[in-house]
Amino acid sequence: MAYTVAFSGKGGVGKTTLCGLFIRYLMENDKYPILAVDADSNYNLNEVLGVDVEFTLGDVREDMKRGNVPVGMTKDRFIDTKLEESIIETDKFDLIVMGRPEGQGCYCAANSLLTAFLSKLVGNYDYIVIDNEAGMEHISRLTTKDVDILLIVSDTSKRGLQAAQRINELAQSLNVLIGRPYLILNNVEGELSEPVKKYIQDMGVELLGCVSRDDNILEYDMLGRPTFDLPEDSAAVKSAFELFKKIV
Amino acid sequence: MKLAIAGKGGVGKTTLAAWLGDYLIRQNKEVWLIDADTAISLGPALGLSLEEVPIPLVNNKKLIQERVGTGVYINLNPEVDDLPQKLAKDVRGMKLLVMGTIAGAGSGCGCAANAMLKALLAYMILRSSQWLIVDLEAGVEHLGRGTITSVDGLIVISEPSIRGLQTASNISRLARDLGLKKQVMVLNRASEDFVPPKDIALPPIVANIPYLKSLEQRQQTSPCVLDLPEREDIDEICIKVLDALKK
Ligand SMILES: Nc1ncnc2c1ncn2[C@@H]1O[C@H](COP(=O)(O)OP(=O)(O)OP(=O)(O)O)[C@@H](O)[C@H]1O
Ligand SMILES: Nc1ncnc2c1ncn2[C@@H]1O[C@H](COP(=O)(O)OP(=O)(O)OP(=O)(O)O)[C@@H](O)[C@H]1O
Ligand SMILES: [Mg+2]
Ligand SMILES: [Mg+2]
Repeated sequence: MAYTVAFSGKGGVGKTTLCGLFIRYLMENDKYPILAVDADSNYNLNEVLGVDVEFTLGDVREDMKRGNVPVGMTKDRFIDTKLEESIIETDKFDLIVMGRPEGQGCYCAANSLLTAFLSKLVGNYDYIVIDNEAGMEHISRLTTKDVDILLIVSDTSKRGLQAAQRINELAQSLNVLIGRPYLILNNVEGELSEPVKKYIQDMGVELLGCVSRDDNILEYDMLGRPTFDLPEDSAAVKSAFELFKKIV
Repeated sequence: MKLAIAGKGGVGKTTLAAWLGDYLIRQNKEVWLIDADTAISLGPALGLSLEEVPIPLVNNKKLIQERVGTGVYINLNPEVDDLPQKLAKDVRGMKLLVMGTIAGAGSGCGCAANAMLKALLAYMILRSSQWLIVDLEAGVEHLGRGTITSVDGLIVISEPSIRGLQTASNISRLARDLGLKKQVMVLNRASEDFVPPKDIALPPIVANIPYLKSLEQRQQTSPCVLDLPEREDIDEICIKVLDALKK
């Protein structure tokens, strides 16, 4: 069974940034093969990793719906080929981008079709890393089923922590977890304040640790450079790797 | 006027929604605020404690079953005309409606919540002294699903990061595809001389929110974003945004 780690949390707390660093951590420790899954309909994990996306699973579904099936090919065969093609392969990891189906209305049928493909894929990998979109909708979707570790990311703000708490409660109540949740505090400057410590204690999720605020990250993101390539001695890389050591 | 605020995660959508509502209510306007984010943070941003935040509309199972139905066949045009008055929470004179997470509705399908929101927005026809502001979930999903087709104006907000600006650009394009042409762009936490790269198409930039140390410090202990020492500057920003949208 693949070891599956998913990132979740309020918007903009650093899920994607940390997801990228986690993939780098796996690589540097020879933990292969890796499948990265970008489950955010506003996908941008590829930018953090420095990879281009040509098409997404959402696009494949669109082709199916339009019936753009080449002559001499059955529909099922065509879908399989297309889905296979949507895996972005690099030397170090594979990336799959869920994307966003076109058109309005209910996406659920499409979503479950796509997740079915994902669950077929997982057997081919030892490590699966999932970047989710902000908020909580994904928690109740299949995309977060069977995760070994749910990494709930927050900054030290009250609203970030409240969102983290809700995500944890929801995950527990839906029984989507087979492993366990941890909290990661990102963008931390100096020591945690007493109220923050108290809040975390009351939340009942174990704090995996803190990732430092790092101006390098902001600078890279301003320039559109992949934060995956941050220097090894950056504060964020160092502190994040310390945490990741505890789970892999 | 009905407005929606969209952008990448954490760029300040909820903060700006709260500021605009607070500004308008002090101008004696009637203000409706709709929290359309499953993480539910607009209430706390307005100063409500978690206990005071109203039960999200879609967690009201009975109501959803009545209006939207469950399972495969859901009614995409539910009746909603009585809901605003019934379910709104009064906050400083503003009326807050919380749409909420889909999880409570059972199926792991966000469609019921979206159908309700869409119908609500279409139903609420406002006089000119009435304002409705929708705080959207991060990203593009609401735009993709067409939930906000019946708003009159869109505020796209971003920080100066490339990923934030690209998200803003995607949002803007999707909204235009929905026929939503009135769009303005607000930059948050960018330096004054910041100019976005030319190859990223954005709505016209009408305001720039400076980094506020006071806000960051406040958020460590309180979720509320109102009553900051910089209120006058914040009001100026609200005026710029609203003026640009009224044009
Ligand atoms: N440790 C850090 N130090 C400084 N800045 C950081 C740090 N982590 C993240 N950031 C900044 O925070 C912003 C949001 O990061 P990121 O996109 O990873 O968050 P996210 O949670 O994935 O957002 P979304 O909800 O939109 O998916 C980025 O502009 C990034 O530069
Ligand atoms: N100009 C600013 N100066 C200082 N802090 C700010 C500023 N704008 C926003 N923040 C802080 O950044 C964090 C994110 O803001 P906010 O919650 O409004 O973003 P959002 O876009 O609604 O996020 P989400 O995607 O989770 O809904 C909050 O802690 C907020 O107080
Ligand atoms: Mg992200
Ligand atoms: Mg918000």
